[in-house]
Amino acid sequence: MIGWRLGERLDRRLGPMRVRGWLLVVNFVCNALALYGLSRLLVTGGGMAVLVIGVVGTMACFALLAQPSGDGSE
Amino acid sequence: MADGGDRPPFRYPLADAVPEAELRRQADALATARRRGLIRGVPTYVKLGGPGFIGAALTLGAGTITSSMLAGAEFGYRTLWIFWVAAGSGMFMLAAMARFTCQGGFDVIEKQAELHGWFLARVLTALVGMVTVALVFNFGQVALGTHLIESIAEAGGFSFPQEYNWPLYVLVTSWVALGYGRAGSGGTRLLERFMKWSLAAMILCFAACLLVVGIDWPAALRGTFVPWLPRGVLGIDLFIASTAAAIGVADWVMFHYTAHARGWRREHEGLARFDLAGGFFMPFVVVNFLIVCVFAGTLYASGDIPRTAAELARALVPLLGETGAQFAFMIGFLAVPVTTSIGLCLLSALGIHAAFGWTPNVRSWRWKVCLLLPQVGFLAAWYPSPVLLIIIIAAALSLTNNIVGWSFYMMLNDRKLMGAARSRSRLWNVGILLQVTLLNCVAITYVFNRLGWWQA
Repeated sequence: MIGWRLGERLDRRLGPMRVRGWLLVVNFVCNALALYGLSRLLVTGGGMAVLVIGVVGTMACFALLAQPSGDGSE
Repeated sequence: MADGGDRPPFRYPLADAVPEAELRRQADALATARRRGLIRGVPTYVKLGGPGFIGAALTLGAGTITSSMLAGAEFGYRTLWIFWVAAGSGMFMLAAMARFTCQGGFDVIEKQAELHGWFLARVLTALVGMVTVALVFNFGQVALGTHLIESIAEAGGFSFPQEYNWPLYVLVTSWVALGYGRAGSGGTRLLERFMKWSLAAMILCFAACLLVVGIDWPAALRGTFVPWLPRGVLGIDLFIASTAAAIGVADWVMFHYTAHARGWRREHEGLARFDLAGGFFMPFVVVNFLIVCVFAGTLYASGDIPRTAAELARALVPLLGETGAQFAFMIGFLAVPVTTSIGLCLLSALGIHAAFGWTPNVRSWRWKVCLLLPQVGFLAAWYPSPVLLIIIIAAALSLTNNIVGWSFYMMLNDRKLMGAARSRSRLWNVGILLQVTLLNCVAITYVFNRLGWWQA
C-alpha cells in the first residue's frame, strides 16, 4: 500500500516533468559526486566525504526509482 | 495504449511480409512449447527466435572482440566476469524493448518523439545512437574482414589482397542485408539463419582453437566468478567502458524493430525473453569467454602486445601451431565482422527511417540506399579508419546514451502509455537503473577526462 502511494507520488508532475524524471537528474548528480570523490581518493587520498555523499545519494535514488507506478489516477 | 481499447492493433510495415496465418501458427507452437516446459520447448524457441541472434551478431563486432583479445592478452583469465555482468546488465533494458514491442504496440521512436520531444527521439536515439554508429563503425568491420580474407587466402597458398577482395565482402554482406523484410523470398529468415549459423561457427571455431591451446580451468572459473580489476583509475575505466559499451542504444532499438518486423505481439513476449537470453546473452558471453581464454593461454605475459584486432590475430595464429586450428580461428574470426556489417546495414536503414519518420518499405530505393550507406566503409580496404570521426562519434555516444536510457525507463514506468503492461517489478527497474547509471558514469568520466580530473 505504502509502495503504491509512493508510486503515485513519483508519477506526479513537478514543472516540466514527473518527479521520477527529476530523480533521474538527482541520480546523475550523485553519480558525478561519487566519481569525483573516487577520483580524488585515488589521486590525492582525499575526497572520501564526497564519495560517501555520492554513493548514499545514488542508493537512495535507486530505492525510490525502483518503485513501480501506482494504480490510481493522476 | 498497451491496454488496447478500440484502436486497431499496431503493425510495423516490415511485418507485412509475415502472413497472419503464420503468426497464428507461431502462437500455437509457442503455447505447445510452454506446456512442454522450458527444456523441451527450447527447439521451438530457437527455431522461432531471431532478433536476439541478430543483436548478438551485431554486438560481437571488431571492437568488442578486440577488447576481449586485449583483456586476455593483458590480464589473462581475470576479467572474464565482466562479460556476463555487461551482457546481464543490458538484458533488463532489452526486456523493456521486448515489452514495448509485444505489449506496447507502438514504434518506440515515434512514441518517444511524442512524449519526450523530437530532439531526444530523432536526433539522440535515431541519428546519434543508430545511424552514426552504423556509418562509422563499419569501417572497422570492413578493414578486419578484408584483412582476414587476405590472410585466409595467403594460408591457402594464393594472393587475394584487401584492395581486390573488398567487393566480395561488400557484395555478400549487402546481399544478405538487402533481402531482409522481403515477402516471399524468405529474406528475413535467411538473414536470421545466417546470423544463427555464423554465431555457431564462431563458437565452434574458437572452441576448437581452445582445445588446441588448452585452458587453465581453475583460473578460468575464478576469473568468471570472482570480480577482479586492475588497480586505480585504469580498473574503473575498464569496468565502466566494458560494461556500458557492450549493449547500448543501437542494440536496444535494433531489437525493438527487428522484433516488430517479425510481427511479434503479446503472445510472443515469452519467446522474446528466451531470444534475449538464449540468442543474445549466451552467444555474447560464450564467444567472449572463448576469445579471452585463447589469448590468455597464448599471448598473456608475452611482452609487447599488439593493439589492433588484425595485429593480435597475426600474433596469435603462429602460436596455434596446427594448420587446422589456424584456419578455424580465421574463419570463426571472419564471421565476426561479416555479421556485424550486415547488422549495421540494417541499423542504418531502420535508424534513418525512424529519424525522418519515413515508412520503411524494403522494395523502395530509399530503403536500399539507407541500408547500403554503411558500405562506404569499403574505403577501409585502402585507407586507415577515420580516427577523428570515430572520436567525435564516440564522444557524442558517451554523452547522450544515458539520456536515451532515462527516456526508455520513463516510458516503461508510464502508466498512461503502458497501462497494465508497465513495469510492476522493482528488480526490473533496478536492473534498468543499473545500466542507466553505468551510462551516466561513461558520460561523467568522459567530461572528467576532458577536465583533467580523471587521471592517475
